[in-house]
Amino acid sequence: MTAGKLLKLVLDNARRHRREFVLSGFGIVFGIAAFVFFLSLSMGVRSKVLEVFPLERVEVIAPTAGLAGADLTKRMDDSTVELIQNQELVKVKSIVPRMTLSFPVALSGYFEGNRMSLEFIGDGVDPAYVRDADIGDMFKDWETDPAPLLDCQLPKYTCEGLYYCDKQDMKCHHRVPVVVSKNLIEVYNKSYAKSHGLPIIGGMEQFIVQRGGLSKMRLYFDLGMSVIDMNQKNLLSEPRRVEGVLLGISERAIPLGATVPIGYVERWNREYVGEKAATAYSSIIVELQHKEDVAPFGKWLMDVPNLRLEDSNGERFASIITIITLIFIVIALVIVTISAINIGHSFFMQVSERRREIGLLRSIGATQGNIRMLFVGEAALLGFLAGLVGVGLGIGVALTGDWYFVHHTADFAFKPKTLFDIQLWIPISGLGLAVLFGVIGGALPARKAAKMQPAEALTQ
Amino acid sequence: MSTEPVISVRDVYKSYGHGQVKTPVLRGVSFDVQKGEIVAIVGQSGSGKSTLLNIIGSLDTCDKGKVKVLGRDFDSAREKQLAAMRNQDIGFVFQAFNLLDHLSCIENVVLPSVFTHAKASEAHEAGMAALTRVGLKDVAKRSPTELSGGQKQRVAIARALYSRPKLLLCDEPTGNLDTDTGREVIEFFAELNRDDEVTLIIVTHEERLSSFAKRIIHIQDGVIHSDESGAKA
Repeated sequence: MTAGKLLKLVLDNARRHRREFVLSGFGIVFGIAAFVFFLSLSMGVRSKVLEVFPLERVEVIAPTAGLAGADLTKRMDDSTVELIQNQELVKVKSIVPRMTLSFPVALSGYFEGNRMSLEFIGDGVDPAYVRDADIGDMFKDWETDPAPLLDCQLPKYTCEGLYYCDKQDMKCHHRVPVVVSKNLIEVYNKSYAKSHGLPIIGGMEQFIVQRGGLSKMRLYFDLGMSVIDMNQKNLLSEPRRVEGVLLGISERAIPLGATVPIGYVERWNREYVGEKAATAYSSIIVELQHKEDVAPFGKWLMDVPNLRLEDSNGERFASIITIITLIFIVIALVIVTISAINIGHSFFMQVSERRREIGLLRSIGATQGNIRMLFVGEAALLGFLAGLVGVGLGIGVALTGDWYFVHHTADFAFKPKTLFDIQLWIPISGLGLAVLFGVIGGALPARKAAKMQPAEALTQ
Repeated sequence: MSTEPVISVRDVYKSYGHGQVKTPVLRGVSFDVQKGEIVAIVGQSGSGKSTLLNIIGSLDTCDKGKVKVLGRDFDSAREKQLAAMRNQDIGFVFQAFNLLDHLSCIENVVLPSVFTHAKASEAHEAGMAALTRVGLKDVAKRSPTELSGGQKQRVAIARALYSRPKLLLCDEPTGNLDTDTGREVIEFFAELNRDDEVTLIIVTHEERLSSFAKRIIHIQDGVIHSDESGAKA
């Protein structure tokens, strides 16, 4: 029997047994829909998480050590960066050191008509590491800009645009660009905003526009001052104020605090603490060529420079997502398996009902193999059609859910543009799985049909 | 010069069931059928005549004995060879017609072509020729459900003739037909035997059908009670 003739026979029988087909296919439809839905969701969330926390990007830190109150933590500086750069164990794509402020800074500003004051926790990084489409070119060390500084406009000590008047030199300096992390916005939204009756911050861009643009995103850094302890006796310089501007959110900002270009932190640490603080890094962000290199690199760090990797959020989240995905896939597979049993049951009934037809086909030349292929073909077709509907349903529900999520849920800091990532292999494997389970369900009945004695079948 | 018989049945035994409930149906049946013969196998219900026909048609197997049909020894023949023989050389006509209602008459007739490499157009042409031969060219596209019993049986005969078989095995072919229609079918079988030299084995308990056979094998309790030649054709 040729494949074309088998297909025609299978299609004829499928048309004839439409009702049985529909009833048998329900389980496959829902199982495959669940498979496609959860896998697409998982892929979407996973890619978003890994976009924020790429597995190949790791943070090198020095293990904290102390004795009798003295900080004995290993110092990381340019020689550490050089050591990592020159090691030959793994390929490094980029190295970005971070530097935290080594002296107190009080941060203040006005928000919703209230003056707010808090201890500034922050660090500095290479501006190129933070700059992206959202933040733009404004995130840079403006103090190294070769353009000459303008004089402040008297009598009110004012400057144009995003510049402020530094009363030390009476020159207009560009406000220090600041970015904050989504984590900080989340903490604000979840804890601070509610308890203080302040508005929730959704999209940062929208937030900035609603409040009159960047010129209103003014922050005041009181260097050498603290909201906790006002007597800072060991600092090399007198407290002074610089102004900053909040540019927006960056996934590369310090998780709970704010990040500025590293040049500012270096200068401020040098000014208030000394040269040593201006050359010590708090951590070093290393982007490896391959994510598989993370483990050997981590071991090298411990063995050679006695440093370690900060726990990777990406790895943690990815593991959790993988486990949740596996649970859902198992649920989907259980549904499909039950449905395969249902198909088997239904096909066994069909074999009984179609005994005479089987006998007739054998009498006109069908081999056992032909009969087996006929029933397996029908089961495969059932699986394929149900799989097709299941894939459609899964994608449909995913797209509807995505649309609802984007348009009808409140903005939040980590809100992605889409929840689902329907990669081509997902519907294809969904279809393959449906056909496979259809065939598994139909295999035993097909065997029974093939083994049936034609004479016995004809005397039904 | 003796020619090889179309059918050779030697000492065939067959029983159904297992153990103590085993019921013997055929007990040492032997006979030959030559090319062009019309043989009626008669006997009471349960005598084993249909079982014998099914064994000859390779639709069933015997427990013991030797069966050779159209030169093929069933002991050594493979399943595929037997299937090919049923497809090409043997036509079956059943009491219950066994037409598939979801197919049209012509589709029923050309159903054996599904198991060959014949092109659809060739199959259709051969199918129409078979339908024309049984006088039902005009109902080709109709469903078997729209036909009378006699017409259904003629469509079933057309299906059996589709491959131009050498041997036609008929199990109670007029059992579901009225007297006139039954007579038409018998006359058609006679014509087929005369014009195409098709060997006919007809299982029946009807007197009128057995009387047209050239040879009557009477089976009783699983053994050949009598084997008479010379009946009028």
